Amino acid sequence: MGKMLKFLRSMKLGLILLVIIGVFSVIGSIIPQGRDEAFYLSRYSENMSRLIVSTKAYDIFYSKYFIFGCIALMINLSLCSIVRLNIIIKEIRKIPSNKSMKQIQTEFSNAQEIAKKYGFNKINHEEDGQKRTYYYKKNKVGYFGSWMIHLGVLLIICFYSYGHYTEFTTSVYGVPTTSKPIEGTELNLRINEFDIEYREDGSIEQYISKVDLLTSDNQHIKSEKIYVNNPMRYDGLTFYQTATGWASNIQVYHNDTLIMEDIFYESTVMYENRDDIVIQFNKFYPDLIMTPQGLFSASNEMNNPHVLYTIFYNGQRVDMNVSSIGETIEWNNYKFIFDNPQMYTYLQINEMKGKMGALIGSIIIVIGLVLCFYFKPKEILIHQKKNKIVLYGKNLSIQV
Amino acid sequence: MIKEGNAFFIALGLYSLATIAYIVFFMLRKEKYAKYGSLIIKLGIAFHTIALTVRTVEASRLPLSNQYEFATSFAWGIALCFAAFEKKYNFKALGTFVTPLILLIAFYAALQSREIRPLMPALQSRWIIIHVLTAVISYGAFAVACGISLMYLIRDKFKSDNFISNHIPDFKTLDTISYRATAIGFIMLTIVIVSGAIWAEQAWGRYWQWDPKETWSLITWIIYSVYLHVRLTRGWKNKKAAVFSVLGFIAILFTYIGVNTLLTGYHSYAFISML
Repeated sequence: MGKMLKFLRSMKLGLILLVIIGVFSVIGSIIPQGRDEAFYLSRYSENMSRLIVSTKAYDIFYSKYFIFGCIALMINLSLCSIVRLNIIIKEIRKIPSNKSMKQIQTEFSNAQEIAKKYGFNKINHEEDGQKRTYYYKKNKVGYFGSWMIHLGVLLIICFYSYGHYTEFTTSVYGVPTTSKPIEGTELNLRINEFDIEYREDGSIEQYISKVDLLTSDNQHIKSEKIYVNNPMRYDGLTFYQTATGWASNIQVYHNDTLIMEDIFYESTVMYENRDDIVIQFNKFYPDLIMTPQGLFSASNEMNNPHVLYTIFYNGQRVDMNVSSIGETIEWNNYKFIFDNPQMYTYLQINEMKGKMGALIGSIIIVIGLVLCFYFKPKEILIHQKKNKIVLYGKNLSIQV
Repeated sequence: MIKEGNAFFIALGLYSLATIAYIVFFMLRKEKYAKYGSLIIKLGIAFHTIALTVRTVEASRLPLSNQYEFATSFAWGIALCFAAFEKKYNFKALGTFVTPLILLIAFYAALQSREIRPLMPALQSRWIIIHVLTAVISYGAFAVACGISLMYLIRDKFKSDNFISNHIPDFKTLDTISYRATAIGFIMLTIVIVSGAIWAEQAWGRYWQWDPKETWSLITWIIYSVYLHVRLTRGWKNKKAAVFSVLGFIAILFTYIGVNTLLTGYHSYAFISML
């Protein structure tokens, strides 16, 4: 049991686990993560794709092997930190011993003068008959350097794991003036405005959503502008400006009777159950140009707005074409009209617990590194017997 | 006013000349060439600083936002770290090993588009300054550590060569300087990762999502942390440490160039539908 515990807290095991995590990370960075099986079949050879799928290398950072490695590292760091804390406290309290120090030649004969020369303005002393011992420890905080780094890494792994396994993610998208419930919460989000700010050269300066956060019975909680790098935060939830796209109003007529009217989002489909008809909104072109290479939009201005659509009947594609805005698309006894195109905003909402813990862990690591590299504990020990001086030191350098 | 492109290409020319001077110094074993190299590299840094300043003024922001800007800043960071270490430790042979690295990165920068483009929304954050500036210092320090480690390995290979013994410091000094450069690089790399995580949390919603660039920063961090552990506790100093330092810098180069060119992720900024 003792041997097992010693191994579990050993640096050797810690380093082996770090290397294993490093190797997994290399694999995870080379193999694209989180794609479907068809992607790997099309990209790699049959054997390779089978290997990727069977070993779950497509989701390596959440595989049981990787998680096991991280848990083992957490155990190693915890045990190591507990044991080392005790050792560090003893080391700080211990009077320096010449057994662990280097003997240094000195031309001075006065202990205080020597101590000052090495940057020790204070020095303790003990007397034993004619023998006097001077000693002091400087930069004692430096003993905590590597311990703090380990503690910081441990905190980050713990809080990241906690955050990941309790993570809540959802999204809301819509055109301005729509109000939508936020799934999994008792909240609603009203999108008041969505603006895309363009620069003179046509490049995008910023995407801005002006929103109201409401309770489920539409009581106002807060209003905010959400844009990239400026999320809205409320009660652990964070709202991010994530994506955008085009939407259009659509009217569906059957035998000249309006049977459906809704907002139709790009890349989505709409069903008409009666006759098993599906219409797909493939793409919107605000400034359509047709070239032999295909359809393009010359600008983001609404100079020639068109919609690319597809109609499916009984699972078969029966029509695919472009239609201008307001134009009537007729198929059998159905009519479809795309109208009022506008951009919609897509907001991702998530709650990841433990962010503060991971941040504290990171800060502890940085402080630990500074202590480790630039606050090395210095020890001085001087034995004086009559006029004979023997000097010992650890990490000493003469102060100029 | 001098144009940014002109100043950059003058700096590139001067770095090339300095590299030649340092190599000639090493081949012909004449110290005067090292002095020329040292002078030329300082001139190169001056022109490079002008190029970066002009670009900062023209773009109205720090030049840290695309492949060209980071590469040119990275080369400048290595050159600056080299000049600081050369001044502090005063050994000329360092230039023979570090100036080719400066040249490599500066040439990589020269191959990139120098067009000044306004920042895309995801890059409009004050965190870009701390994130990229610390990356420049970190990579610069690791490059110097790599150069010193190469010197160590050369000195070890040609132990009986008088010129090398006279112009390359003793093993202990090389090992110590390499360690100090690695210490600076490692602290800065840690800040790079932490600041990147804070920024990612604000921009993308997650502070860590195993993006290839993040992952390779972690791999590099692991390589150097293993190096520091074995160095401190197992006495892996000297030659083994030198080999480790060179390997670490190869990981740095892959993190910077390899990940951007071979792997795709959020740092490639190539995605269209996302912001």
